[in-house]
Amino acid sequence: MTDMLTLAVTEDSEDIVVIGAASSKFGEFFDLGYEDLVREATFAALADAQLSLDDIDAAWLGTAFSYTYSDQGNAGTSLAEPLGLHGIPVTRVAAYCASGLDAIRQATMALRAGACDVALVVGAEKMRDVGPRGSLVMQHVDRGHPIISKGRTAPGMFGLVAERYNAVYGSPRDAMTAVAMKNHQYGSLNPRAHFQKPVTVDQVEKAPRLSGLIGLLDACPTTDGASAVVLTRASNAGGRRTATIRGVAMSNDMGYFTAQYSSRFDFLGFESTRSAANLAYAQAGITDPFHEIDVAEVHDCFTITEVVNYEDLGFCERGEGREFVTGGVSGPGGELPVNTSGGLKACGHPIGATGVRMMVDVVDQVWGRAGDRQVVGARTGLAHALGGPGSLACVAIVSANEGS
Amino acid sequence: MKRLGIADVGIYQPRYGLEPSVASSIGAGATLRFAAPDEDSLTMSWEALNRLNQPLDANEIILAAPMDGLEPRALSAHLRGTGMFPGPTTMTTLHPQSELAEFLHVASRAGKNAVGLLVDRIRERDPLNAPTGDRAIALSFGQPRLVEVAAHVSLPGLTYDRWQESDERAGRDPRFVEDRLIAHEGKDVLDLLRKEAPENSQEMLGAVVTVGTKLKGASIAQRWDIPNVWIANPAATEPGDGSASQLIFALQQLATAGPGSSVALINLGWGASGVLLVAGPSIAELAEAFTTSEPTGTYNMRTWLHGHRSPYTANPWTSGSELSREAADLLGLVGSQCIACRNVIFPASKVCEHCGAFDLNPISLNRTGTVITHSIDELYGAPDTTVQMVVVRLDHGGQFYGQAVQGLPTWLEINQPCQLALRRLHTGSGLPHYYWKVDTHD
Repeated sequence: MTDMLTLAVTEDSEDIVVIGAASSKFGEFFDLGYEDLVREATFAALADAQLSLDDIDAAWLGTAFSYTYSDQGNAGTSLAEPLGLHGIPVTRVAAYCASGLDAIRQATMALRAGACDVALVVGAEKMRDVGPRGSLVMQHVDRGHPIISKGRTAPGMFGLVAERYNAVYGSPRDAMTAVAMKNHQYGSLNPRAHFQKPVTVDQVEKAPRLSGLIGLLDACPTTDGASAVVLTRASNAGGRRTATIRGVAMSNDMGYFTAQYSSRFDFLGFESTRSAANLAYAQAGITDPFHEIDVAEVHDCFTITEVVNYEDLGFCERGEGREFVTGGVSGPGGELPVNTSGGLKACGHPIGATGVRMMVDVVDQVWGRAGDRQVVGARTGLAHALGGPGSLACVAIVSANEGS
Repeated sequence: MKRLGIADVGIYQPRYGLEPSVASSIGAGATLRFAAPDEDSLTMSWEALNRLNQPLDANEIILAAPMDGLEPRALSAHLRGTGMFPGPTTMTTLHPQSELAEFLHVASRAGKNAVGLLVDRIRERDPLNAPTGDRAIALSFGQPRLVEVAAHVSLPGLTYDRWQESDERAGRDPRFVEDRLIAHEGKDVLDLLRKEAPENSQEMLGAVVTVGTKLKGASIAQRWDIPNVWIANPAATEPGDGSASQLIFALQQLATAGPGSSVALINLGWGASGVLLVAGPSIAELAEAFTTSEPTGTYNMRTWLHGHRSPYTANPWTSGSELSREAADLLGLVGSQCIACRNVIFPASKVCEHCGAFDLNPISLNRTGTVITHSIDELYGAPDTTVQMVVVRLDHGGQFYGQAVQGLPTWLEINQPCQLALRRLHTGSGLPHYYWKVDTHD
């Protein structure tokens, strides 16, 4: 155990900080298993924090759909086993696509409560080990409620939003294309991204249709990957480079199979995002997110989702999400660059890993180590993950500390 | 057989057609309509019952329908689940190729508390020999407002047996005398019908004859001394060899001619039988029921042969116990209404999603509503089918989300009025699953 773990927790040491953050490469890895990816991300994050596995006294694992992929990640065991984390609590967290970010939230709470001193959070999903019949899309076709929502697919769920948005505000097509191009452009600069090539307007708009306005290049891929962060209390950081989690919140606002049945769902955005953002902003003391946040990683499972996320996160007014991206505000050099990692669109979306990967990328930005994608002067970043058909959302606000 | 009154009639004619090449391959009329891939005897029965003009007050179902492996009790359970019947129902199931006379005879013994369901779904028997269209008809028995079954006859007969020995490829064998035999046996049936109901035989428009060979109706009519003989045989496009089609055709003649007119329906083959139908005083109510719309979708040969057994319905997981718990509310369209804020929730819930209250009452939802949004999905039914998923704000509260029915001429649009219709979803764990889908508003 390092010296810092022996430090007492005091009243003024409640801030929870990130001291290490790393991701495996995201992509399709037939030569790597779930455990390989978990180990790669974990050891990189520990090295970043200048710690070893012996320093960890509690861990959390975010994996969303373990049943889909050989039951990997169905309990904390899937993290404990490849790392040899015996004798400490390892907890699996499942919150659909927000599993990773919710795992961070739970680790943060445990640290605040003094239940542990150094927490490891890993998000992982190994999605490319199965063929189309075992894919996430087909699993949702084959499983689920016997009759309710039968016919629903992931693109279909968000296609409903695109169609409604189109009817109420006008066509989101140009904005969706702009999101795809922006995120693939960022992805082309990210050596960890699943896709590292820019795309053109024609490629996006002439891609095969998946559901309504959503085409193949409006959708994120399914991906293999793992990400990890190491957290501790600020007082335990021992002079390391830190980024404070100023706020982290989660909100459950819709059912899973029944979300589209809810008369509260206006299909123009997601109440869960709005609720989680409001909670996180309140924790962080943020009153003007557009001006107080420098960089954001938001849930762009489909391009329309990013458009409505701008509005739900309060970056712009409702109905103004299109101009936010087409006007370049969320692009390189814009006032609030969004998904500078390439987002889910280009990084890929290993579901349980995504929320942790977002935290890694936000931390990279506020620590000034995002390379060609670096937002100049970024000190405060936001991570946002949406789970299910808008059923739940997690939002985290992170700021670099002096000297970081 | 005692006289049987038909108080109400519901006729359902589905909306799918055949591509001309398919129609020509199987010798079917190009104007015929067939059940969509998500329709079967159960859903067609629901559609026919739904077209009855008066509320059902029946406690017995008499059914003659091809069931495609579906147990008849599943049909009655689903129909009861949708709230079609006010209480428990018993069911008498006849063979799907039962003669109309047999069907009506059974109905006459059940009386006014029974509803009859006849479904023609020829593809289930032999997709490569489907010369007639699919139809369903529901009959509510009681007062003879629309039609009265005035006479019933059943005789032994052997015409089909003799015809079967001839080789059609070599032309008709002159040694056999089926024309004359049929004419002879048919006239026996007709004479007995006339004898049983002489007062109703004066204005007989003709006879609809089902027999397994090709005959010239005009020649038979002359022998029988009636104005018309319509032959329902495998080569004809009308009136069809299914009992529902035969009955619908006869009703159409009666509706055109008006009250007091009569039509005989005669089946000849292994056994000979007949009934005499007499138009009741309100027969004109049926005038609009026979319209055939333009086809809204067409089968090519592959989709015609596969139907709803297409590869995409690859036996998804299901839970019989979950269905058992929830089917009554889901099929019955029963939601919950918050006592405090009056918000209506569907599927039924134990908590109000608006105000969080726990005190809710069950509430029956409307089947009509307006499309809020939709998405035309290319993945779910791939590679066979594009599925439109639709969100509907139901009139008087509640929201629904599900597939659009197959066979719509155009996709549903936002703000379009619509209604929910019972359709087949898929076969999962060996069980056909049914649920509401979204259809255009009548």
